[in-house]
Amino acid sequence: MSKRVLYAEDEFTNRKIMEIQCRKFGVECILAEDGLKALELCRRDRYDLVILDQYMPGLNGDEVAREIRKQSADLPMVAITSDDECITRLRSSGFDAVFVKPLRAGDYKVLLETYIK
Amino acid sequence: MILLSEAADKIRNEVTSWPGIDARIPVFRYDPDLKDAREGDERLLVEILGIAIGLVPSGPGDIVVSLTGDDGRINLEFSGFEKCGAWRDKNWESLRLKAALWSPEISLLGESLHLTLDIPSSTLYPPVDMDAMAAETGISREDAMMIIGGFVEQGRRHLEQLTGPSGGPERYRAAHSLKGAGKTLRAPELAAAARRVELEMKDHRDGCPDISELEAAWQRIESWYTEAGRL
Repeated sequence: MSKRVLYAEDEFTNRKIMEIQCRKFGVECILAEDGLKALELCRRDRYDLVILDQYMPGLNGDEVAREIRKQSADLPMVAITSDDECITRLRSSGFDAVFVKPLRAGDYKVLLETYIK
Repeated sequence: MILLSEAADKIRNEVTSWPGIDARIPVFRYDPDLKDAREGDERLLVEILGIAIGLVPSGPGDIVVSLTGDDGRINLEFSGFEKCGAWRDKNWESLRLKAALWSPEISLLGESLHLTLDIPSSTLYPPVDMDAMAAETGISREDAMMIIGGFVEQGRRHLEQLTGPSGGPERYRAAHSLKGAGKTLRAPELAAAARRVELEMKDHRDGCPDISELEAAWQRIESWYTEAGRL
């Protein structure tokens, strides 16, 4: 059974690139367009990795992460942000790693090889 | 792709966490005619700025970084240097090596460090650099083209949000999304115009931003895509 990644991101281009990269790595990618949807999907299904954009409509990535952490202490979670100002805050919000946009080919490789158990 | 103003923001944020920096956070001053969008690796430029700022000996005044230049290069002047002894610092060599790709010219004039880097303006290039996008994100040209097409179809809602009835936070978010898309697509004019709107919205969240530049950048991408689709 393939591993499953949940990726929440409101921006179309980043969602599509992640989807393509996941396919390359043999990982199933489930997409959410905002934080609330991500939380709903996470409550309903099981994932091997959750990747959250920080700045989203509804709930931001760190808010979603805090909710997820209440249910699952060991689910790997990675934040993606273009805003360097919030890196420290994201690290203390329960994320295992923080990646800065725009992501490069090497970033996807590290992300999908390192943080999927 | 580099947005100079964003690289400056990034290093300013990073510097705040440096031990012993105290109140000497750098202040960036721009030539208003300097084009923000540049070719190259933004992370590398941030690193170079960090090395240069780290060379400024501690002192009472602000570290002022002035940016000027033209379509081919940027000139950076870091004020507040003490000439004596500065060249002995091993970081000088590090600065030269890191910046090697951009043919650096480094000099000390009075109390200022002058650094000139050959970083051309991105606006000299097509509105979308599909090959760079594909190479840098590790996807095929076909996939890159499909994503650009999807953006042209779906991304206009962000533009509409900027002038529509939604509130300030949504407008700010729309500008932020367009900037991010511009960087992902390697669309320099879009990214730079969206960055300007984003900064405007950051200071005046309730205002209605001027999106004429953003509209123009958008239309150039749309035309590029239509034309590319015909080929």
